[in-house]
Amino acid sequence: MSLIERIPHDSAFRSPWVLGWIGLVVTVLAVNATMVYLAFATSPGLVNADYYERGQNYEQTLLSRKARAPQWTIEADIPAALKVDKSEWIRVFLVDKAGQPVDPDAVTFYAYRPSDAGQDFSIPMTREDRGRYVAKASFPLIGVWDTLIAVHSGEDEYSIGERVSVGRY
Amino acid sequence: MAEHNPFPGENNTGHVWDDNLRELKNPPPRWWMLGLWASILWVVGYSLLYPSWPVGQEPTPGILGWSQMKEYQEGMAQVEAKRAKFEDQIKGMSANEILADPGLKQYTLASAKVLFGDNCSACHGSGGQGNPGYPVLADDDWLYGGTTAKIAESIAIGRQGAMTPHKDILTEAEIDTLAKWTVQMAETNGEGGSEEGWNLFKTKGCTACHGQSGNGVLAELPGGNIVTVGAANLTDGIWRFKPGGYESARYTIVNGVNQPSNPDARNAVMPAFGQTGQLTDQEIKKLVVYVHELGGGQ
Repeated sequence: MSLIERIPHDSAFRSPWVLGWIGLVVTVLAVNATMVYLAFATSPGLVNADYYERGQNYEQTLLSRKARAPQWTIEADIPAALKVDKSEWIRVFLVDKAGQPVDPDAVTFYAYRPSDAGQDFSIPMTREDRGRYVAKASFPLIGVWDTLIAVHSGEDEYSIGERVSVGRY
Repeated sequence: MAEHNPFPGENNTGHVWDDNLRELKNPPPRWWMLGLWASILWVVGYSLLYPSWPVGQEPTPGILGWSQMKEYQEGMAQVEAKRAKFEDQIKGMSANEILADPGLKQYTLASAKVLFGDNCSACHGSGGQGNPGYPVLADDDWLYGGTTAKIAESIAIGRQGAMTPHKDILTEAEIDTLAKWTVQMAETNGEGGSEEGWNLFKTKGCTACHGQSGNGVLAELPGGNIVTVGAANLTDGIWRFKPGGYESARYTIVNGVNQPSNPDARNAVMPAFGQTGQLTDQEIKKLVVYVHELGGGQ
């Protein structure tokens, strides 16, 4: 006796509509389960693992940075109309509190893709003139990028960030 | 595999497994063979017509004589031919005449954008917004005048202002007073400077460059032109050396600007792009139109 023949004649499970709806629910649940699995398995890892400890030290970090800050003015020049895969010069200018250019130990340009840490990249900036540093950057995807220019001086790091939008040609 | 062929005359290879599984000698389908021959013909045809096989340093040239570089050069020649009409027109016109012609102005702005990126943006910013140590080009504060003639002069022959270091000329108290006065002037659009500061400004020779009212203008000429030596306007709140304020003003007064004998002096030099041959007259004219239209042209 086959499976369908074992189901009583008056059972709702003999109706194709009931079976169809059950199939639909099972499909939806299966898709959800797949998406949940993919979300965990392919997470780009944008979350800090030690977020709680970092949060506890936030105030202290800010105060100690403020105490050590050399009162520099750091200004970045990122072209407004960025295009995908088109190299552009990114510059940063550093002056002290009297407006004289200063040279730190190192300057690095970082580009973060908010939706995918796998696309993040960084470029060391080279000295073009006193207090003026430059890097040639090309963004591989259209959309939003978070840029950060980090200036290293001794043990300290100072940074400025800017959210940019990269368009199509 | 079987020792003997149990299916003779079947067009098989004689390879038999598991009693009846055998390998036949069927030819490939016709469509597949046609595809193969077409591919071979295509390779032969392509090789004859286009550069393909590497022989020494160069590939075989191909009957058509086509090359990627030639196509690029032809494309560029077409672009140049389209530009030539505008370039010829611009050649015989002044910057002011170009500005008065909407079509030519549009062409010149588009064309000069690349020139600006290559020659000016490193210091003055990608949008002419200026950077710490380098003047803004997108406002109406002009050190040497914002008319097309003055802008052309700045690009062609460069600019190099000068300010004497005052550390051995003024006392500490006088420097302090003048630095504070400069901040007061900047914050009040030139109307709130202390009397003591004004007295020092007028008696210590500052007016010789910054003008009687501190706005950097030595004389006004008909047609909106001004006489200036490039000294900063102290009355408009725009700081020549960012971040501005007391420390900046004091540093400039003490150390001066562009003093070869003083390594601590401010460095404020605009290269001479015309005299050094870095830019042609035509390119300078285009840049004049571009800079004039950045927002503050007079």
